[in-house]
Amino acid sequence: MYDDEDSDGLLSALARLLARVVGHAEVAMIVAGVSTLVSGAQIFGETSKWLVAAAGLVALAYWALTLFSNRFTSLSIRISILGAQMALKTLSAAGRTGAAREVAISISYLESVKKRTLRAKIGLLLCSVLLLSTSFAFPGLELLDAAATSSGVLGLLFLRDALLEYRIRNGFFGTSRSEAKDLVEYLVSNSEDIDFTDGSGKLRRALEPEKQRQHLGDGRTAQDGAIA
Amino acid sequence: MDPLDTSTRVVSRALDVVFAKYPARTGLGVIVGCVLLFFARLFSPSLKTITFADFAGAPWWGWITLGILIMHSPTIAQLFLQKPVGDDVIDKALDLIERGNFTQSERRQQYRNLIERVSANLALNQQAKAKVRQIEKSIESAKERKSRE
Repeated sequence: MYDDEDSDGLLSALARLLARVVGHAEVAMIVAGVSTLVSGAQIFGETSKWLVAAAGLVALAYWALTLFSNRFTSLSIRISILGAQMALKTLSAAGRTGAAREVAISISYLESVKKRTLRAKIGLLLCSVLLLSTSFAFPGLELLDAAATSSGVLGLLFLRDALLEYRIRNGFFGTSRSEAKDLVEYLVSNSEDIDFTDGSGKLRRALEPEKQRQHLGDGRTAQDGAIA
Repeated sequence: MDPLDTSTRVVSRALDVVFAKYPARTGLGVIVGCVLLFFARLFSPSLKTITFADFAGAPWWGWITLGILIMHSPTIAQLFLQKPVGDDVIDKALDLIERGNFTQSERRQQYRNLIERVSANLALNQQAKAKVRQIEKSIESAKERKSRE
């Protein structure tokens, strides 16, 4: 999955081509939003089953192409599409190394989030296709609402990923409590050895917020390691 | 603050609530619910013969809710058996930032500083370290490719 080399195989050439179309967070957000709305309209109201089928099939085709392009595209192509380097351009050379690491950790977190929900996405994709086709073949079973639900949940899963990707790309990620906690938990769960205390059970000084230290009368501000 | 930042953060939080913090479990729960519903509809003539409960008459969303509850049983068990997930020290640091007298932009910067310091204070395992290095390399190569274009 993390192969950096651009393979010349037919599948990866096709995936690279597709990635430029389907790999944008904005496109994913629009498709996810529309498919979720159509699914919601079917679940909470009543729409034409042909509208549900058309919206569902377009969205399902899009998700299938996304899963395919993610599987066969090299990481550098995906990062190029993600535009992570855009966040680094504006920084000085000194700040760039630290920022590149932060972006790398955020992308690594994004990859792990996508990987965690991969089985559920493939399952929901298959479930939606089977239920949609069964509801047309055997209308008496009344499975259209369930098809719309699984398609809608799939849309929401992709919307969640697209939003995370969008926030990383624009430098918004990691600036709220829940995001900071998720990212720190990811770092902790992927670490070999970690000790945040100073031996006496107290928080290590490096982890105390700067303002807190200033309030305590410590004049030093931690310029070290701080990045924009 | 950027309105896109606020709106994307609010929608992300809302999705976390919808998925009960575990999107994979919720997604798999919907699949389990759909499978239960399919079999309930398929075998409804047999289910109608059962007199003590009306399985055939159960609504479609009932089966999906049941599937989600089944897949979220570890989440429910965690709530009763374990402490909330998270490192106490990190939670303390996050609380200090939350309760500190900061402006909105200062608070955002403090969260970033915390992430930076945590990543500087721990040794990632070999697999994660290799992954981060590879991504850093990819960022550099993507940047070079873009400058050549």
